[in-house]
Amino acid sequence: MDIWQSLALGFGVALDPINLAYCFLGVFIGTLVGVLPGIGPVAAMSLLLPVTFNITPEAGIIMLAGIYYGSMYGGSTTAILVNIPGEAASVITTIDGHQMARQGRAGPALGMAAIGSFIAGTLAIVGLMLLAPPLTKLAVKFGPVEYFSLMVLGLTILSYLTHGSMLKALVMACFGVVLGLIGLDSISATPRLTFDRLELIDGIGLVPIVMGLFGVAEILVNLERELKRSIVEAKITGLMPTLKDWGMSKWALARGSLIGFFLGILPGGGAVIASFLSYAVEKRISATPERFGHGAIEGVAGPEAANNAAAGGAFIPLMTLGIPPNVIMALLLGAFMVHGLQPGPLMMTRNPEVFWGIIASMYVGNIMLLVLNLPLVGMWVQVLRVPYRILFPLILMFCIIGVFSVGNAIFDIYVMIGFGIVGYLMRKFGYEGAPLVLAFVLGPLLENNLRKSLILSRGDFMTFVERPISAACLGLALLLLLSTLVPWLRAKRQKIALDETA
Amino acid sequence: MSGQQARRTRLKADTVGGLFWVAGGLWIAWEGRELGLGTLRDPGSGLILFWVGLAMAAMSAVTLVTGFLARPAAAGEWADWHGLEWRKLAVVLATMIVYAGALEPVGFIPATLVLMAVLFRAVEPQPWHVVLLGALITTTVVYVVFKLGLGTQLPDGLLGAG
Repeated sequence: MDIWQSLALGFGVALDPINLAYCFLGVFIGTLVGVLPGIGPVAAMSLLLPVTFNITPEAGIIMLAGIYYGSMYGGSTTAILVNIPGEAASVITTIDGHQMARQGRAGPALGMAAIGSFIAGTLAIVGLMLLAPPLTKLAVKFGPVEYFSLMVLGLTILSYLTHGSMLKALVMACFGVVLGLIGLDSISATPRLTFDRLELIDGIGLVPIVMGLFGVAEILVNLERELKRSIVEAKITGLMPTLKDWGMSKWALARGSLIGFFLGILPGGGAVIASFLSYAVEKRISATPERFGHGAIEGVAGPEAANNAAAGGAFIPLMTLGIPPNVIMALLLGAFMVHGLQPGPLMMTRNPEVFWGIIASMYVGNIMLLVLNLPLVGMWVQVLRVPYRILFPLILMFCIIGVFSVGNAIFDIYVMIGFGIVGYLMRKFGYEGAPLVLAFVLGPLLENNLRKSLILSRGDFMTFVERPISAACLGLALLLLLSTLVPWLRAKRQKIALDETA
Repeated sequence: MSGQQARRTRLKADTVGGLFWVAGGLWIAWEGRELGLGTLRDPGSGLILFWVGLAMAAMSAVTLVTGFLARPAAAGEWADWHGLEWRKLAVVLATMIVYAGALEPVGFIPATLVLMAVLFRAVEPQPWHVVLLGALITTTVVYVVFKLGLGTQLPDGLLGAG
């Protein structure tokens, strides 16, 4: 089946009325959580994960994917109008986007963010479509040794790029692996760290952990802050950027798309880092860098393109190798597995309708988002006026109901509350949640592949360095770890390290 | 809070956090050892737990030592905790815990009405009529969306209608 036939099959799935409805629901909720500070795509996807149990896998994944890239669009609206990033990937958009709004140019800023996001999102889907099939062929050559080493590299990169101390990030990654191993050992069926509790035999669920760390903890932290919002009150008119704006932004859009796409593919990379890097590049190569920070439209176009392209690129490792490169893709992996699907090299041949259906739905979703974010921007501004005293209790209740509805288990609510407290303390003590969650998902896979590798090689550790792909992954991970010992490189890392999870 | 003060706070926090994770790592390594390490040709259930626990303890020990050595005993070390609204946090957490315990015996509707009323009051004091109306509306909407719309099984409890 060539690529056009495959895409036609995909559009057949994506344009099915039910799937269209779920795609719309996904991008709508995505925009909503992107707009609202205090709840991000991770919490929203966890909340809606149980909803996907009752629908087809295509519809479920299409909706969850829609939440992810929809939130990238929505985050920019809050960043531009309120100077608060709706989600972490829009932090950088606040700098020039809000300045433009204060200068009476909120319309072009919002327009550029939405259209730039659309262009970059579409380019990323084309990239995903073209790169996924050859990568899938390469991925078939991956054995347990390569998978193990690639996962080690992914966790190291994420820890490297996480805000703050790398040692603390690695400790969190280790803690995540341990949490992932709770329950029955998949090889010997021995219960591990279950404390004789029946509820722990199957391990801890991803949803209660994520909702606790990212939903409840976020609210607990915000409860002690005084959050103020200054919404730009002027009526938003003229959403279309001028020809001059386009002239200034076209290369920023192209560069942002490329940076975002390739950083999205990188295990441990993601939309936040992509947006920051794009901004840094634009400022550095600009003939007038002094305009940045004072309403430069390239400072909106580049990062917004980058964060949307990264959202598309992040699907590549998940769909071709079955390895989630970030927390959001880890959640999607969970959704695939709930439906008995295993993303990876064989998915394209075994479940082409799911694979290509998701890709085609992203084209459709991007068009929906353009409509949702340009003509309907006034509606999102109204949403921004919902006071926190109403919003926070609602989010907490949705967290509880969402967690309970996954398995109708009260125990899961306690687990969520427990991880809410853990997440709150982690923020206080400077530990990040992203490495923990990714390691939690990868932990059992990591262990399984390590044990298989050792059994196949008869206990010879040299197998990890004798195979070229594995040796390259481990070598790169080691280099990253050693680089933190070099003061100059450590300073560089602090500059690019970001909070991926906010 | 000045930059230097923030750094001091973090260092103090590092010693406390480091101590906790050193102990946690060692305990995990111990549990791994108890589960059995096996051999390299036939790795046991506890092999990964053992090594991951040791790695945690070792890395946390470095954080602990660097935090301790650089620890300047100065005022304001715990500034990260200043302005902490313990009561608000405690009320919100206690309400959620009580709700989890009451959900099955009491049922979704009455338990959620109380939960929402307490949360609306706890997050920021509001007039009682706003609190009660808000609790009633949100409980109804959630019930309609989750129970009737999405078919989620919500506990019946006392009313037999949850």
